[in-house]
Amino acid sequence: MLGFLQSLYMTDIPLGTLDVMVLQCLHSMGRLHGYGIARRLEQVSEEALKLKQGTIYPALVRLQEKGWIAAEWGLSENNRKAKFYSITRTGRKQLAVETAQWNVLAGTMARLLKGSE
Amino acid sequence: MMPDLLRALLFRLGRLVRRNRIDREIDDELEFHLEALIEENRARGMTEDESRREAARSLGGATRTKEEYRDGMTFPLIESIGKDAWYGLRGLRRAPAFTVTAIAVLGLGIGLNVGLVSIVRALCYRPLPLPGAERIAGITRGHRVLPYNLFEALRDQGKEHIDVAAYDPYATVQVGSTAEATGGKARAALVSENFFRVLNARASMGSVFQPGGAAPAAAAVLSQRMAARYFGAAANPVGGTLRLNQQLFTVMGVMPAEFRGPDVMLPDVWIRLSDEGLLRPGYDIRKDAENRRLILVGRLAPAVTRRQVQEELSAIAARVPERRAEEEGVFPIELRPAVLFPLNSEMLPFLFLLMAPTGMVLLIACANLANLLLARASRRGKEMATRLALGAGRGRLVRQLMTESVLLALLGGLAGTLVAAQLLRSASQFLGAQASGMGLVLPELQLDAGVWAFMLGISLVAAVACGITPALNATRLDLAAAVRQEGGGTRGSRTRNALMVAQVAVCSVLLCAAGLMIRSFQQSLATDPGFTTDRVLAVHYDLASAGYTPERAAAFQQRVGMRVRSSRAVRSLALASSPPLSDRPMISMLVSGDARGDRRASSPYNRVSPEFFRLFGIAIREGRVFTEQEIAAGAPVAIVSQATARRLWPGEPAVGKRFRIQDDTPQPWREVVGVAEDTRSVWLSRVDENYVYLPFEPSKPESNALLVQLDGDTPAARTELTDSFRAIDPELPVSIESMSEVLNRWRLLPLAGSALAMCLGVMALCLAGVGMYGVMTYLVSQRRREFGIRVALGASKPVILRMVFRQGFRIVAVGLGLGMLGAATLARFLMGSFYGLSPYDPPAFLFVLCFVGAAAMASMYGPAKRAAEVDPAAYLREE
Repeated sequence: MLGFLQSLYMTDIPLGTLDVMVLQCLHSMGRLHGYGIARRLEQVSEEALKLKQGTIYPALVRLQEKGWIAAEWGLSENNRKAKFYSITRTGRKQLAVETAQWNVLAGTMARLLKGSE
Repeated sequence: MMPDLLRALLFRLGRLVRRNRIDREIDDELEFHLEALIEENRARGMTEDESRREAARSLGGATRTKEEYRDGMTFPLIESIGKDAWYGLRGLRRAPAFTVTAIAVLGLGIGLNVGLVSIVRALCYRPLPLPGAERIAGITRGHRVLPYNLFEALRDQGKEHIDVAAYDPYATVQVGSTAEATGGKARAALVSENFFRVLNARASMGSVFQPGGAAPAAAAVLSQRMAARYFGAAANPVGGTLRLNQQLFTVMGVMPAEFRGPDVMLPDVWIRLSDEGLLRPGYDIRKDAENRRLILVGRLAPAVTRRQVQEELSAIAARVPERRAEEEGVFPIELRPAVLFPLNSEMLPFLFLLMAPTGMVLLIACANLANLLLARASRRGKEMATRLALGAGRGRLVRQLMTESVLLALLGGLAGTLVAAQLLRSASQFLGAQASGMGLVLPELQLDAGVWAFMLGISLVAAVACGITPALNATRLDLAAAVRQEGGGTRGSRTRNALMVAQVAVCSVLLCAAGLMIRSFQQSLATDPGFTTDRVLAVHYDLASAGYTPERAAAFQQRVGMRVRSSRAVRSLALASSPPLSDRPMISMLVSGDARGDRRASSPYNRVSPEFFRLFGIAIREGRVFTEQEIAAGAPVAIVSQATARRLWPGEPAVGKRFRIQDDTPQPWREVVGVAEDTRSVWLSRVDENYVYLPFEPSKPESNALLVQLDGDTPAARTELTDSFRAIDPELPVSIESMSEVLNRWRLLPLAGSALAMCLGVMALCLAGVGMYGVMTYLVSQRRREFGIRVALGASKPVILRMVFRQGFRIVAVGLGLGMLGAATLARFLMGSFYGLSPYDPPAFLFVLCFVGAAAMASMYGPAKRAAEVDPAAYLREE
């Protein structure tokens, strides 16, 4: 666990952000394997996040534990065995809650930072 | 919150169980990810090598990623405990001497204690295997055996609170032959009518006694064994008849095999107290109502508390007169839980004698474990310091050392379980065989789970307590000093010395006990009972149970006497109600007084024929022995021992004095016609304080003994003796016992006691020796540098040896001193168990002194020798 926390700090992503990103990613893209999720996050952030792709796996485990995403084995586009993740109903609810929180926070931060200019 | 936590827990638990598959899945998933990255890179036009490198970089370090992934999946803490345990086991395997010693030490300590406590609990605390046993209570009033009048009062006046039943399990009856078996003796329990109702027991065939029931007189309930023996295993004996003491009894029911009743004594047959007159013609317990012979057991009425019942019964008992005036109102009524073997105040010291040494062994075991761990920790100071210096967390190191202690405790507990199981198996066999010989039935002895858990708990606590100090000490070292393998500090060594002193003290106590026991055994071997036992045999027979009338009994004994006397192997012959050192019947006497009036006294006694004194070589100091005429006429005469004469008539000649036996029937004044030499006829351990000989009464058909002195105790002579009895009454059971066998029975207890104490003592000494060795090794290693310098400066070997021994002997001397003081104090309290020894018996204590001293010397020699052989050059190189 400790190692995981450290790895999070090293990628400079605020704690909990990765979870929301993964949830949102699965929400908009549907079923995805770990590689797909990592790829998608990279594209969306336009490579700004610089996160080690391996770090998403502990996040995936954490989300499964909370029951927000589900996993199953399946075949990839080129017919290879891969583990696919999809968002669950409670996951969608959680995403809505977190999105709202983020919007409030982002708005506040934006106003605050604009004021200080 | 809770469901979340629960789900997370289940999620991880599921993965913990399927760990190998999880590992594989993680590998598969990460590999898929890696391959996909490589493919992508290749598509971008990188070379094979480049694309691999780039893929690995963007995924992150493979091993680390996997570890992190798995940490999320499972319990990292459990896995690291597992790793600690594994590491601990490996460490223990690397130090086999230490490990084996520690496990053996703990195993013995735990095993002995669990075994013994299990036995005591099974016999003395486990409720009877009867339905509703928690509402059954044993009723006592100072004694366990109570008179009929008390029973009657409690039963009649207390019936709203408790249903009181009474029984006497100690009767024997002579059984007549049936179609299935020849006759023999059987153990009978005489019970009140409500006995089976109180125990809530049913017959497997037929029925049991019911109070106020219409069952005819002369009815008997048989045990399964008895029914099978006399009627055949398959037959239904209910309604059949059986001859008991010449009287026909109708079989009313058969108890199931598992029925044990409330006592260790398992009778063959149950007969109502009201039918006792049929077994002993003319006897009626209502006329013998003050005689203590009944054991009371009751079933509490619903919705009353034990306290209420006890108060109620006490109030009733207070109105029942006691025969012995001096005891009236002294003892309260007590209700005891119904167990097989109720502990009473007489048994407690014995139990203490048994439990205290085994408890001490556990104590030593724990102290020893602590010492071993301390010594080990100090030896590992360097390792700990190195690991600390390399950045290991203190918590992690402490946890690891603790894991090791706990592992040791668990392994010790396992060994202890094996020891206890073996002990219980042997005890079951031994006690079972002993008990069945005495007609007792013991329950199966099993490992008591509660006791086991308790002892394991103790050893765990001991291990943790012992483990934590060295663990903390070892990790609190001054790093620089410890890496050079120095330090240690005085605090640790003081603990160690105190533990060592305690060990030496405890094993000195044990050995002193052993020494005293051995000495008392020796004394008992050397003890002259005051009469010859050489080639004297006793033939026991019971005419009353065989249904003899007084006339037939007299005729029988006369004929047997003549027949035996005519044998050439027989030198002399006497008759007595029992041989010396066998039974201990007592009489109450009213001694005809002087001006002060009559006095009461009581004394053990024996009824003997005139030849008794010559046969046993007991000299008559004053007066004379009985005459044949006095025996035949049952004349009111008596012979007393010298001690009795001195006590009853100090400073006066006893011959011619008179006393009267106090009995249920009026007795004439008896005249003392002789004073016999003092003997040890009651207890082998001491000269009798009182002893009275009364004339043998051939017409009393009680159980008697024929005593003969032979030319030689050969099997042929024994056969001839039995044949003499068979020729006159082939059905009468007789048993032959030599007087030396009787004496050996008396020596068995001190022998067994000394063997046990010696075993425990030597065990304790071995443990202490191992501990001593460890401590000395440690002390020597602490002073290595000093010794090296001393040797370099010219100190000779003997000088160094002396220095080491002096240090060790200080510990031993303090321990020995404390131990002997303790032993002497204990011995004063337990003096009754030893044969006429002073509690400060010098040989016993000297023996311990030498024994412990020698053992300490032996365990110190090795380390001391090593110290003396320190090569200064080698030491300097080590620096």
